[in-house]
Amino acid sequence: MPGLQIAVCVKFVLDPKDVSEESIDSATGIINRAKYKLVINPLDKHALFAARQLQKVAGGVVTAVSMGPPSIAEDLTEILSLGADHAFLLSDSLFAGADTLATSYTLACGIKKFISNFDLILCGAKSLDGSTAQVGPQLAIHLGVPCVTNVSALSWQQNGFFNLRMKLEDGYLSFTVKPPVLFTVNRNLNTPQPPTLMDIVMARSKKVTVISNQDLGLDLNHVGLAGSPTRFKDMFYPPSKRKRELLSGLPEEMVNTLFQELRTKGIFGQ
Amino acid sequence: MNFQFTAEQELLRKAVREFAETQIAPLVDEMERTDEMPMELIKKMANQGYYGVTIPQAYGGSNLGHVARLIILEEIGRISAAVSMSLQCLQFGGGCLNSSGNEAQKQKYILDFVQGKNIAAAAITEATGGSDPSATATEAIEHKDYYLLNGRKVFITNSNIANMAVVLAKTKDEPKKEFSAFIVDKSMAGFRAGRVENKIGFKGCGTGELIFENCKVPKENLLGKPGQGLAIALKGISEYGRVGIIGVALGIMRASYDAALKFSRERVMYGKPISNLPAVYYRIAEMYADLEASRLLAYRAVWLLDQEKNADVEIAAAKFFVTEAALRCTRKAMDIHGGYGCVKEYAVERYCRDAQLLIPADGTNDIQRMVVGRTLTASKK
Repeated sequence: MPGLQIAVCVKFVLDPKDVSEESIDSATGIINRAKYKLVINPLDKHALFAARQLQKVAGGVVTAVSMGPPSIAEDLTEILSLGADHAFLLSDSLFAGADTLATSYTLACGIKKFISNFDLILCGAKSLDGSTAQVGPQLAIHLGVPCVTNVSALSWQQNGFFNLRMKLEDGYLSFTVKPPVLFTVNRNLNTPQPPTLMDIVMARSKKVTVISNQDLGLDLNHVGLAGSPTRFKDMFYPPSKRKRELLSGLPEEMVNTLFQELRTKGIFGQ
Repeated sequence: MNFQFTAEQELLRKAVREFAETQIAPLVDEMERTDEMPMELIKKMANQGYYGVTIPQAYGGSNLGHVARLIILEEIGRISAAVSMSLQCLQFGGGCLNSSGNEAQKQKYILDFVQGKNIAAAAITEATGGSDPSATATEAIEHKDYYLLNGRKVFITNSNIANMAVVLAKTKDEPKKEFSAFIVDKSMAGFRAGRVENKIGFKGCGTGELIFENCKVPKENLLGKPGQGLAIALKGISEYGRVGIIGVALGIMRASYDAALKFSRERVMYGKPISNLPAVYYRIAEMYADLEASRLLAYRAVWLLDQEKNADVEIAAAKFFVTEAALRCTRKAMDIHGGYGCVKEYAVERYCRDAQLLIPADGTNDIQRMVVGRTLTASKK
């Protein structure tokens, strides 16, 4: 067996450290992404790390697939240093404004064309920004493969099957699944490690291929804004109800004030 | 001119920052309490490749160079000056092996050094003073197939965890003093660690004695040729030791600046954050200027090393400027924190204690001024 052909879908999102209430343009209600540094969606790092661990056991090739503006091509080097052997960036102004349906369709077409013999597609369970958790399952439908979401444990067996655990709200479901298959993973799956110096050196010789719609020839009614039934309505910063109050005085006085306050708020009863 | 780091260097910084924040930060309080280096961390840093950053790939390193080394030390120093100090001194030992060792020595020692199995101290300083290596009293008497080493090294970083050392020793007194460098490892009887100093800072990074009592060092462990010891030591001190201290200093400065900025924005007095007070934002501005000037001096100096140019003057100038700037910044960070700056719950007091240790390390700052001043005034240009 030549090993596993694994594709990992990676999204670049705004670095939450940079985003604040002021980031949202009050006139348009949107964030100008070009102004901010983008980082790998945290759960996608778990997917990449899982792919790397599976590759160590089963061999094969890990290919990363991302969709975004051409400016992130350089950022894809980080993905290569995190274990991907090759990366595809689907980038075209025609893809801009895509919702989850158009995104998953475009990703599926790119994967079908360039990684047709895949055994496993890995995605983060959701993205930090949109947080819909839709792209993974939609992608599985486009690709015609089974999908297990919210995977928190994953291993590969010599007989070619995957053993995995899907996290539910109040428990787990265990599966044995035959490839080809798509999993979306959560943060309990593993603890991603930063790249080593040799990972960074090795990334030099790996390739990022930028794919446009000229390469894919997709129906324009299914990509970008035109292919997106979802329309953005508004974006706002959630109002913070937290407030900080500093108590002063002797310890007994401060404790009494605190208890009084908590009682007033009904936390300790009246 | 181009003042930008390469994309690869930015990626390196990001990766090291993540490592430092996730793997080192949780250990800092314990290191402050116990003054011990977690050996598991040595292994983790080796796995990340931090010891081999300037070592060729043929010997297991990544050969990313001196700018990359400074980035690593700065990012780790931002979280823990002690860990950065320990790392830079081990890189110093490994760097000497790499630049002066023969093929057999490299095969024997460097592969294990890069993997964190060989913990290599640089043993130069003696009680006569680190600033004057020519006063070295440790003696290596030549015998048929070995040298007999006797002497005591002091203020040796990592003395308590090192299992090997690059040692400077006197091999001839007459007609002229001659010094040689040796690779000594713990398999050689008569080599042991002595007492560990109780320092005010760098808690967790041991500094102490290495003692050689009738220690038989095989002749194949002579580093370079007989009489080259001082040149090997001085090159190592400049290119690794001083640069290493500069890296630690940049990390401390960055941490102080970040802490001061954060505190000034959060601490409210007179109904507003104290960052609105001129007395506070003047200090922030001065810290920023010190940090930026230091980084420019420092990164240019190591960039010269990566171009295989001599940078002794640039490094010495950067060493005294950056370390004194670091000390200034930590004091200002403490000032901005007011009373909170003097309690251990806030890290700024640690930054200040650590920064003081930078001043005498790897040649006091007066020695650096001497290196720069003498070179400049001797020049005919």
